[in-house]
Amino acid sequence: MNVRVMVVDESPARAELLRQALIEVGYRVVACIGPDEHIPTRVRDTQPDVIIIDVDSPDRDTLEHLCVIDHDQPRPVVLFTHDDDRHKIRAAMRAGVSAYVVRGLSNERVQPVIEVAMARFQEFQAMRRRLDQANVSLAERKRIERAKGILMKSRGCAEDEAYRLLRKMAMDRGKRVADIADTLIAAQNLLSQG
Amino acid sequence: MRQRILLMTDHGDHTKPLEWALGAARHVIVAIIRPDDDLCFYAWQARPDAVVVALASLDHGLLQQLERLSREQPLPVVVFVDRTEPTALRAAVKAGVSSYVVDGLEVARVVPVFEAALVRFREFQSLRQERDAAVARLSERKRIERAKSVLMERRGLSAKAAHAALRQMADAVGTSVPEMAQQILAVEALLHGQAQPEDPGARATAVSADPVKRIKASRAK
Repeated sequence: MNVRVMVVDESPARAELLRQALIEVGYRVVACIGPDEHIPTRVRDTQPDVIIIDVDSPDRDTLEHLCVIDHDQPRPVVLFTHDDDRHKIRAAMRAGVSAYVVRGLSNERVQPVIEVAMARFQEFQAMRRRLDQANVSLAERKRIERAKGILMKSRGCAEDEAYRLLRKMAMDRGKRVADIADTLIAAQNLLSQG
Repeated sequence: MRQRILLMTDHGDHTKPLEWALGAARHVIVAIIRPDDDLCFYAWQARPDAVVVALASLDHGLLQQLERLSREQPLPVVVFVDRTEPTALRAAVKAGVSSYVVDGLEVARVVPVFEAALVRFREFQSLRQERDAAVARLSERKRIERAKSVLMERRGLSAKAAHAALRQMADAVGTSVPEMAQQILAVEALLHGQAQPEDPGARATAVSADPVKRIKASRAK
């Protein structure tokens, strides 16, 4: 299983050296582009597993591109640079950069840096997913409660009866209880407005 | 900002460029310990802002120490090693290491690596706290819902009445609704020996909870 890498480099000559070094240690380089290209588009087209950026100093456009990628199609990003300005480091991290490496681009070192970035990215994503899951189930539970309330009131039934009804509706329609709850709440909103 | 650093290292040639670079950036090394020292103990005693580890490689015991540190007193941790196994690398990241640098101990790189580690640590901590809070809210809600259905079943109450009863009981002993729900579930588990549903975390605390002590403790506050 070869890891697919995208290289973003200011200098075509450096990009070529980097490309060869990456291939030598077993990566598959799917794209080599300059920092002035629209990186999110190229990421969408080539679907790399990891993005390596080698620039003297990441400019505003590059960081903005990285923000877009982090939002729409998150991936581990390794940034090699000569800029050790503290604010730059902070801005890059916020843009979703997994590894910010100052003056550290050498052929021997590139592999562990990529591996660390990928491992860290996975950790971060797992935590994010758990957070999203918890928030979604919390919101769902609240909506199911509301839907139960609507049923209890309109049918004059007890809570467990209301829940049984919801479950039955969900099973009959092959949907999730939370989706049925949404439908009920939406219907109730429509009716009470009219 | 000046950071207080706990340094773990096993040989002198490693520490010199590190000490020099960190010192030049006005950071302070508050203690130097060896890899067989108890990291958590020294971290607790020296109260550093960050931990720097500079070793030939990380072994299993040290990875466990780092993992424990990240659970008990999370701190930014920077690791410099000469060589690494892919498994050790992943384990280190999993153990909460903020920066893991292989063969990169040069004066010019130490401080930027350190700065990046501080930023990353903060980002990670705030995400972690957000996650913990969301998970806690969710299990709290599950607990309240379960306690309500216990009350509905045992006392033949309606949902609304069960909610009111829960609130009343909480007020009466001077505790919060989630705490009261927890106690009801603990009692229910004792009396009826029911396996507590889905949430294993909630079960663990419910079984260990002593309702009387808990009520006393919450009153004492």
